[in-house]
Order: sequence, then C-alpha cells, then structure tokens
Amino acid sequence: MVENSKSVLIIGAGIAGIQAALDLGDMGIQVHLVEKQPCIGGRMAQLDKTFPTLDCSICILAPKLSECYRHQNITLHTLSEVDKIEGSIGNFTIDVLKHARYVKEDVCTNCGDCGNICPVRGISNFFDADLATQAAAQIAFPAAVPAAYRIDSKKCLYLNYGICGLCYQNCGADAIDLTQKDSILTLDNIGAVIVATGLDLAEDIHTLNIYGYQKYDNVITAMELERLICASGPQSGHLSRLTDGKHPHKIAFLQCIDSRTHNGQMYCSSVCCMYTTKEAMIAYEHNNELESYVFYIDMRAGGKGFQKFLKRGAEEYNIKYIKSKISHIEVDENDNPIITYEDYETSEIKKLTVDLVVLATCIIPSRGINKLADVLKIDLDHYDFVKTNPFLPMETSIDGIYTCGCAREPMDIPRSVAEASGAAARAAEVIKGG
Amino acid sequence: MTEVKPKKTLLKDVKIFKNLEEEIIKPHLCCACGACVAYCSSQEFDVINMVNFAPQFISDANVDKCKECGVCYYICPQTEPLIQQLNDKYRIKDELGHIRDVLAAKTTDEKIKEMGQDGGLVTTILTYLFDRNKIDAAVVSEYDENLLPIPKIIFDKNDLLKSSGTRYSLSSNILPLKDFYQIAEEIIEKHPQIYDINQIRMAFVGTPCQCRAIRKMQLLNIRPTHVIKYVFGLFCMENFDHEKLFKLVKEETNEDPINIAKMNIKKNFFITNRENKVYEIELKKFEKAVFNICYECDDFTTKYSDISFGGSGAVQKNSMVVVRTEKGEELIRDLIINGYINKFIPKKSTISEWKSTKINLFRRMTKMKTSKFEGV
Repeated sequence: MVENSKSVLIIGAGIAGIQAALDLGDMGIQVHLVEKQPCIGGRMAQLDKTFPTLDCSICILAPKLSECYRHQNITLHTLSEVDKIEGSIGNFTIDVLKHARYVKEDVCTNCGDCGNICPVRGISNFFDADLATQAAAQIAFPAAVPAAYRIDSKKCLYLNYGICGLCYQNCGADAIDLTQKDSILTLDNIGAVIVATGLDLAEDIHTLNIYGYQKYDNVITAMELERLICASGPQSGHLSRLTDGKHPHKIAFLQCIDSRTHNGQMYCSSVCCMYTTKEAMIAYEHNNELESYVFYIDMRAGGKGFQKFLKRGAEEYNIKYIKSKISHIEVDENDNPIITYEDYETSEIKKLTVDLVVLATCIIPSRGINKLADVLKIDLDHYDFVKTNPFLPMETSIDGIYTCGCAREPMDIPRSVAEASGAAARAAEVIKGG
Repeated sequence: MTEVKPKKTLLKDVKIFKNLEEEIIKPHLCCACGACVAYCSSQEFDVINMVNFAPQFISDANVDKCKECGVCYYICPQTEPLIQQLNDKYRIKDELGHIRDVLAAKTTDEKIKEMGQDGGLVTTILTYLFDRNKIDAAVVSEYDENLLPIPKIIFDKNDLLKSSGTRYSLSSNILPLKDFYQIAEEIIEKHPQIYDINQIRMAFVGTPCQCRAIRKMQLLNIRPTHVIKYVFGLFCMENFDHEKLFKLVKEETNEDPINIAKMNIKKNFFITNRENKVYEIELKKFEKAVFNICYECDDFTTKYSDISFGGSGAVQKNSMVVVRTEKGEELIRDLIINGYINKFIPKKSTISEWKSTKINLFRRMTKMKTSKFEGV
C-alpha cells in the first residue's frame, strides 16, 4: 500500500463503480464505494448473459463483487447515499447517510431463517424486476454481496408497530439488531469523487400503455425477460408465459420503446439492438423451435464483432428482422399479443400474432440523479445524464468529480468498464499529485 | 427435569394470545372469524386452533410454544390496534364508511338467479373473476346437509353455485386460510403459470367483522392474507348460533334443517321448505339465537370492503351494491360492460335522490343494529 491519506469516493457500485474501485484499490489508493441498494453489482448482476460472447453475466461479475468486498483498500457502504459535500478537488469532506440494515452485516451467515419466519409476505423484489416477492427480512438474491440479509424498514412489523420480533427470536447467529438507526458518516480528505450511478429503465417512469405493457401479461420488458430466462431467476430459466405457463414459440422483440421518440426520450438507448439479438439467441438455445421477430427502425450495431453477431442471429438462431413501425398491440382470446405495424419494405399495414412480446425499453438516467446533482452541484444535460465535455468525457462541471458508465450516457458493459478505468485514472492523478 | 430456556424477545408489553383470551374470547366478544388461527397456523407455530367457534390453545402443552409475537392480538377485528390506520387508509369517517357509489343490480345468469339470495351478485362477480382469470381461488362458505355453514376455498367457478345464497349462522370464513400452504400446492398444480406461491390471487367474501380482520392483516402484509386481492362484504344485521337457530326454526315450522330450501331475512324471516312452502316468522322470535357480539357491532354495510352487497333497500330480484374502492368501481363497471349484471335504473326519482334515499336507509339500518343492543 502506497502511503498517502487521500481517498476516492465512488458513488454507485454497478459494474462501472466496481471497476473504478478495483483499479484504484490495486493502485494502493483508499476507496469508499457508496451504494444505495443493499447489495452491489447493479444492473449487470440482473442480466442472464452478456453480448457478443454470450457469457454468463453473474459468472463474470461475481469474482469482482467478492474481490471488491474483500479488498483491503476498498470500504463498502451499502444502503448509503451521499448527503453533503464540502471542499474542492484534492480535499472534499463528504457526509454519507447510511440507512440501517437492522442486520449485523459481519455476523449474518445468510442462512435465511429470518426470511422464513418473517410473517410479512408479497414484497416485490427489485432484483427480479418485481416478478418475485420476498418477506420483510430479505436478500436480493442468494449470492448477493455483502451476503447479509436486511430488514425492510417500511414493512417490518417490529419497526412500525412494535410487535413480532420473530426474526430476532429465530436468528441462531444473533445477527438481527432492530435497534440500529440511520446514521451520518463524515469522510474527510477525499481527493476525488466518481459518479457511477448507472441507469434506470423507461418502464420505471412510463406506463408504455400503447404497447399494452401492464395491461397484457404477455407483454414484458427486456429486463423482465432477462430475469425469466435466467437459471437463478423466478422461473428457474424455464421461460414461460405469465398468463398460462406455456412455453412461447413465437416471440416478437420491439425496438426503440420510449427511445428516439418525441413522446418519450429523444435519444438512442444504444444497447437494445444488440441485447435483443442476444435475448433471442438465448431463448432459441432454450427452445430450438423458437421463431423470433425483431421489429426495428434501424439497426445500430456499432461495435467490434457486432454486425457478425446480428448475422449469426439471422442465420443460426431463426431471427427475422423486420424494418417497421409499430402502431399498437391487442390480444386475442388466448391472450396472444397481436402486433399491428407498418412494414417499411412494402409500406403495408400488417398484423402478426405471437406468444410473447418483449419491449426493448429505453435506458434513462438513475432516478436519484437530480438529487445527487444538487448535492454535488454538478451539471446535468438536457436528459439528466451527467454533463461532460466531448473531449474530456470523464470530467463533470466540478473539478475533482468524475463520471463514467451509463450515468454519462447509455452504453454497453465493455464501454462502461473502459470508462470506469478512465475515470479511475483521472482520480488517481489527483491523489498522486500528477 | 429440563430447564426451560427463557424466551429471547425484544418486545415489551406486547399483548399476546393470552390477552386475547382474557379480553376477547372469555367475555364472548370473539366473532370466530379465524384470523388468529389462520395467521398462527400458516406460521406453523402449532399453538392455537378453533373449537366450537372459539380459538383456544391446542392443549396445555402447546401454551409454551406461543412465540408471543403479538400479531394475533393486533389483527383481531375486535381489538383496538390498527383501526385508526384502517380508517385513514379507507377514508372511513362515519358508520357507513367511504361510499364511492351506490347502485342496485342483478345477475343476467339464469342459473344464478335461481340459486342466489337477491340479485345473485356475489356469485356472478366471482364467476366473472374466474372467467377472466383475475383470481385463482375464492374464500366462501357453503352449507352441509344440515345447513351448517362450512367455510371453504374454491378453485373453480363450477363450485360456486353451492355457495350461492345467504347463510344466517356463523361461519369462520378466514379459518380455511390456515391451510393456505397446503392448498397453494393444489392451486399451483392447476395453474402452471404460477411459479411463486405468493403470486396466488384470491377473493374473500365475508361479514363486516371478517372483512375488518382481513383488512387489518392486509395492512401488515402478513400471510396468509397477502394473496387476497378482492374483499367483498355482506350487509350484516346479526348472525345466529346454528344450533339455537334451528331449534327455534323447528319449534316454529316443525321443519328440520335438511328440509329447508332457502332462508331470507327481509322485514320478517322467510323460510322456504323443499316443497316450496313459505313460512313467514317474526324476526323477534329468533332474537335468542343471535350472537351477543352482533349487538355491539356498528357496521351494517361492511365498511372495510372493496364492494359490499345486500338485499336491504333493493327492489325485488336486485341486490344493493355499495362501491368503496377504485378497484371495486372498476370491477362493477367491467361487469356491466361485459353483460354479467344489469344495473337497476330508478324511474320514479332522479338517480341522486334515489341514492340518498338508499344511504339514509343504510343509516337507519345501522342505527337499528346498534339500538338493538340498547334494548337488550
């Protein structure tokens, strides 16, 4: 460990924040990694596979998660938010609001006894795109890091009504501590800050009702498909329809949902063309009789090996690409979605009945970004992404505060990782007095 | 002798089942809804059960198994906790509760018309919910051959007709939910789309006190009621003790329960036997069979429901409908649009006049319900 006392604070522990933390930690720089959720890993942990290699997402990520947790130079603050910042580049003082977990992180053995006895049920799990439910004593997924349960303070009977306390009674390790309180941790001598708050998705803010989302159960979002098709997801990877449990044979993938439109976000979400083909490929691997239809405006596959990937999809995975514009979606008496669209090749209005519709919803900035930008006093762009200079893409409007990944603009995993290393390098310059 | 390990607990001064026994069950204030037993059993604590419409410790040996979590005391419809929160949540300010709409309607289904009590509405709504795959099960009650009401969870609309019509003696409608986790297995077998037990959707039909218990449990999000999506309330003036009721019926009509086809309370008690003979008996004669607690209840129209149903105030062959929540309003609208029910349109007065007459009637009925207590 290089001897210096300045540290870097990273906000957001998704793949970008984790990569930046590991880079800096390996350089011998002290890192505080602040994450709002009870566990780290972010959106990448939710994905089934990554493109264009079709590697298992969590298999790549999990070693990084535990490395981050064990790293002697990285201090992890989960369930935490940045509350206040003072000072300037080279010497920030930052208040971190740590929400109580009500479980002693270092004592919990992740056995699940608290979750089993907790009488509160039916609380939706964000990690499973709200397709599965939990008790008030909960963990997002069994391999979560840190591997500790937490108590949902909004739903816990003890914290709200002073009754129950069953988890406390049942915990063999004495890890439950319902007397914990939210606290403010003041960190001084922070040399630089990296904003890696990542993304949310269009379905979080829009109803998407012209596509029948939330009205018809057989219209799902791409993130929901990722969870359903994932072996550790709610359906254990046996993709089936939410209405009747049947395996779909015809899936339609609709591109540019809520992106590139005056009615939603005006920008391109950048990763959907690729992940859609990836999802159609994985689905095909689950069922070789599958027909996939991708309804697209134009294919934006600008990356190394991306065109080849699409070609492979069409040739080997029975994917048909239809250049088109969707009008609307209805369902027939068997809940099969019927898509009405204009075929751009022939300019005809056509209909197609499928078993399942998957919406490639637009990446939007993390919904906490406005509050955070107010705290940090950094500028956001027109769409609420962190504003940067095209030639200094890691730098925000405040000296010493850097950004990377989807906090800046929609991008895929390899680019997020590359930018994270870039932001880490810029932060290291500050610390090492470059 | 083994030393009893002191219970590890955080709680201070929390009321537990022993308090429920002292304050509610022994003084005969228990309405036998079954909420406490359903909760405790679904937690697999093996502490209490229901015997002769009274919750009690399974045996002396089970007393020590009580975890003293205090949830049973909280969710009991006859205790004080959570009532204020419920009233705030459901915007209840007076004895009639929050009313979004009042209407009268009847079923369009001929079979239900025959079997149902008034307009056959509850049966029709449950049929619709099953038809449209909006519920996987419903908690109802049906008669055994001696007209003893048996609370039951049904999975199929074909089982619905058995539960048509009103039963006037007590039925512990929340009790069958104690076996939720066993029943859930059966439901999941029938519905391959359900991959998580907690996804099951049920409708609940019950009296004011039972619906109050369900709402208390829902407020806490606790099992097994977290699966209940619709709460349908029944107008309730009083409830009878089965044994006492049919002893009096026998005295008055010389009919055994097995020979009775239908019972209906309007102004008087109407009893129809299997040969279609109708007896009309003064209600007062049955007063002795009424549960004491019903005289202390001020809820006639079931304040804590999504929709409440009853015969009072409806012209022949219609049921009165009190819509209380947005969910209930949507459902009634869908039923009308899809032709499951016909809405009654008053001819002699404007709709708003008609509605206020009905609301006034409900107010009078509620007053009657409470004043009976003063008279006793």
